[in-house]
Amino acid sequence: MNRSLPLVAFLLLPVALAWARPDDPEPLAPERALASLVPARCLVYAESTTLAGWCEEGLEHPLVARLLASAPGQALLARLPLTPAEALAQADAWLGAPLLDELARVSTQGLAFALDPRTQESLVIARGRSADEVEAALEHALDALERQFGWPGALDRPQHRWSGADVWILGEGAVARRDELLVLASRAELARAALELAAEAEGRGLLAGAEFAAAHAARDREALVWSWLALEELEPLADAGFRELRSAGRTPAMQGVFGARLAALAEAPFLAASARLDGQGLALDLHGVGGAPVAALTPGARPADVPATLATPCGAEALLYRDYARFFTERSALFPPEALPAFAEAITNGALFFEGQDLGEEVLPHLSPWLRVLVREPEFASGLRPEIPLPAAALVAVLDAPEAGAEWQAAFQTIVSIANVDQAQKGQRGMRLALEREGEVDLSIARFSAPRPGEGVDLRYNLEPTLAVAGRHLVLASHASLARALVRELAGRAPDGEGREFLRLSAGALGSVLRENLATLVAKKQVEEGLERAQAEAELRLLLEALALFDGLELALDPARSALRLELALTPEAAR
Amino acid sequence: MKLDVLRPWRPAPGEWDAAAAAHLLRRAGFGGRPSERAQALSEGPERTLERLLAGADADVELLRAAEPLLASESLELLQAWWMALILSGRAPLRERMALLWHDHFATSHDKVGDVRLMHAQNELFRRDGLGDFRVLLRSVARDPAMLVWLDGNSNRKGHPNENFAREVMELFALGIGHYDERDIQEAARALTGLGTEGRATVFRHEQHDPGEKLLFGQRGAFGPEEALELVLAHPACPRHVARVLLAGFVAPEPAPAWIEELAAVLVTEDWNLARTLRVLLLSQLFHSPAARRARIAGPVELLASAVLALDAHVPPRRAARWASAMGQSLFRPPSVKGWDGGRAWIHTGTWIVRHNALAALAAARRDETGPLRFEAERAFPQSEPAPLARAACERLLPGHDDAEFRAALAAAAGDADAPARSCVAALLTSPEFQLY
Repeated sequence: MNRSLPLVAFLLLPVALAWARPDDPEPLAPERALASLVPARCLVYAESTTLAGWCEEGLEHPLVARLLASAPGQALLARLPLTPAEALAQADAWLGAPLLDELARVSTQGLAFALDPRTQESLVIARGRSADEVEAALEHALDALERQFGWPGALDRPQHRWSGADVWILGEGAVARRDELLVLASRAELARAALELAAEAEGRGLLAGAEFAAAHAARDREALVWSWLALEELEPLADAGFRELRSAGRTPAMQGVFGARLAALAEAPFLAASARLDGQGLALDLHGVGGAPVAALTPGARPADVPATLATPCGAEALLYRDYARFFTERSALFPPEALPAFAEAITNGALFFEGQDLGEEVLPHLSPWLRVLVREPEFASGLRPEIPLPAAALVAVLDAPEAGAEWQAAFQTIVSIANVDQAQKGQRGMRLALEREGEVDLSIARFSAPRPGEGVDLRYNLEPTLAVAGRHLVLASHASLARALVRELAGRAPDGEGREFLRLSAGALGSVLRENLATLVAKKQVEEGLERAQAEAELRLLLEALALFDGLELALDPARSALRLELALTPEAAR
Repeated sequence: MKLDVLRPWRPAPGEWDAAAAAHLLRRAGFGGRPSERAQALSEGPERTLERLLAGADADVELLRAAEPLLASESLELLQAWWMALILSGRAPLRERMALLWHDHFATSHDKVGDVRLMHAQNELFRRDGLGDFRVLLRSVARDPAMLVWLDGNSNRKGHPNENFAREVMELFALGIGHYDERDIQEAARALTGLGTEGRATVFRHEQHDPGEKLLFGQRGAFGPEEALELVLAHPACPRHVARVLLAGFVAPEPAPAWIEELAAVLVTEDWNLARTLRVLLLSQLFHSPAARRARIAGPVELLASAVLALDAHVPPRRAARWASAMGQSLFRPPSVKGWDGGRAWIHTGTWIVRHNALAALAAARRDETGPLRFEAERAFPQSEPAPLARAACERLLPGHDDAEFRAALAAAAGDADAPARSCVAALLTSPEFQLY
């Protein structure tokens, strides 16, 4: 036996002991969620478990490739200083390795981002396929930093070892790797806290919160991004606008315009959101956690008919549940005291229009809380097409009985007459009332006098308020031609039995309005923002080109989950 | 004719300096950018003034941009449009004249209620503002916005409305003391029938009083044209116009001798305002030390001169809002007398707005109207407070050689984290910068 062997073994003992690192934690369990590594003080969290797939395909991803190859995509690319491929090539050259491949390798098992808004500290945690791949990717990144800042060899070795992880301190931030786990933080303390959580077999991190844990368990695992915001805790840190939005949830304006479900989203203590991007477009789900809409104003709280579904396509259409009758009858329970005087004023004014009847007790209860709102291009009379033409909008509701229509007609005419008196007092022109017929239906129409030749057709000629009652359907439109079309479509139609709140917007229709008014919009940008004409035009054309990528947007409220779903559908060309 | 205070100014070597050039650019425009001041310095006063009078660089695209906006019926857009033209600095004297006549023939959208009419009147001031005053007055008398503003439509035979006739004499052409109540009544009769139909001016013969009138001692069956001719022929008329020009371009309270001399120039120049202004702006009176910074800057002048001198970019809508908050809402003068101006521009309410707006400009604070671009550190790269204060003075208050003032600016710069911004803010909000 070689006599020097014990000596060598003795000399190597510290090295061997250091290598074994008896204080190193157990390897991270495969099922361990990234959220459990994030300190609970982080109020904003987002994670993706499908990002690696997107990165692996890169510009070859079918959806990305289609978007880039589409006509609007090409137009957008033409404005960029570099093509995406050139930009990626530059990034690859800087890194010394393909950027997207490296990103895919370090995030195979997911990537999470978290933010502590109180300290403005942020954290990124990625979990790759294997320790070797993550180590190689990190080495490339550190080498690139050494080259960038002229620190040859400075980052070859880690400066610390925390909770079994190699740690490099970069300024105030830190980068750490433990096996296939990669942690980046803007402050080293946050990286250390994440590593300590990772080292605890039972570490819960954000999952310690019951609401978070439940929402996380129910998340869409195929989503591109799932995120979480602790709204209640963010509130004291946010600006006044955010606080006002949160506190507006119980105001009549918020409930009246946005409805009970959206108002509940704004005031919920937590918000969970997920985004799914596939060949059809983008779907965004927003889920208010821990909050509930006002029960009395939630769809279905008052059984009622729904305005009939219309077959003709619209530029925009929405079906909303707004029980304005309950706004009045239950006002003291629903709204804060400071909102109540406005109701008293509305009741007084309403009595003026509705022959002394109480708006809350006698008028609105006979109107269905389901409202169909739609936008279409109107047909303007010859010589009355406004220089700034806007689409017409209409509101369709259901009356208890067709006979109630007469009092709505009378109220409409009274409102126009009173508005005319007000206009006359200001020396302005009023509107002329007309009673016309469409089939068997009377239409009350208010029109401005036609402009004289050469005077120009102003914006006001987009407005030709019209009210009609077709069977049990009450139609209030901004333009007579739309009211006529709706009366024809609703003739003989019974209301629907049930409905679900949604809002649908056609990108094509929006683009067409923008295109039609391009000269006005360019001029508006010139004088409001002080842009040169060419610059203003370029900005608007870019918007139009981006809009051309999409077919439309649909916003739907899921009654089961009290969630809002927003879908941005791609055009057939982009989605093909 | 023999000139006294209006004798041509022949600058001695060195007299045509940055302060003199800035004075001319301020009064005959809105101060201009540093490059324009440098150009003026190299060109000399006469060529500079010729260029300003020609207004050849007018931003035609921006002028046309009003057309598609008028159908929106938005006064705010119209205000932003005019402010955009002023801030563009492309035809400063033309815009200054439009502003001067807007104040003189003050007409408010509050009563007219029609942006197309307000725009048409504004274009009238731009078109005729440097031409023949007689043409300008006749155009104003037939301007639909003016006819609505001063009740032309209710000036009918048998029921004359004296509003326009009174203001023509009191404010527009003669001034108090040169007419009596009978002249107003008779002029109103002569103007009967002149009104509007829709947005057009019409003369309704059936509403015109064709009877004999006695106006300024002359008898005749005068109509609108003849009545205006008699007003223009009144000896007080050129003096009144001369007073307006002197108050606008030289000093708020012009001496009677100056008025007499300029009135004579106006008549000699066949009422041509551009030629009259050429004499005035190249005169010894205009270039005398007493004329420099002798006026308190109105809000539009203040904002435009600050923006141009700093070569900054402010969204015109924001500038128009600031001007409104400071008391000068374009197209909305407070009364037929226009804005009181002078010391009335500054009181506790408006001073806070002036201070906040100018401080926001120095700090390039953005808001919902869009980005406000000004990089104080790039404009004034000096790192030491004293050179920084000197550079800011040279740029923004040329000729204001006051060591104590510069020391105060240097102190403001020295105490701050962003010295250049603090120095510029201190200068813009100083009493000295409020003088024009």
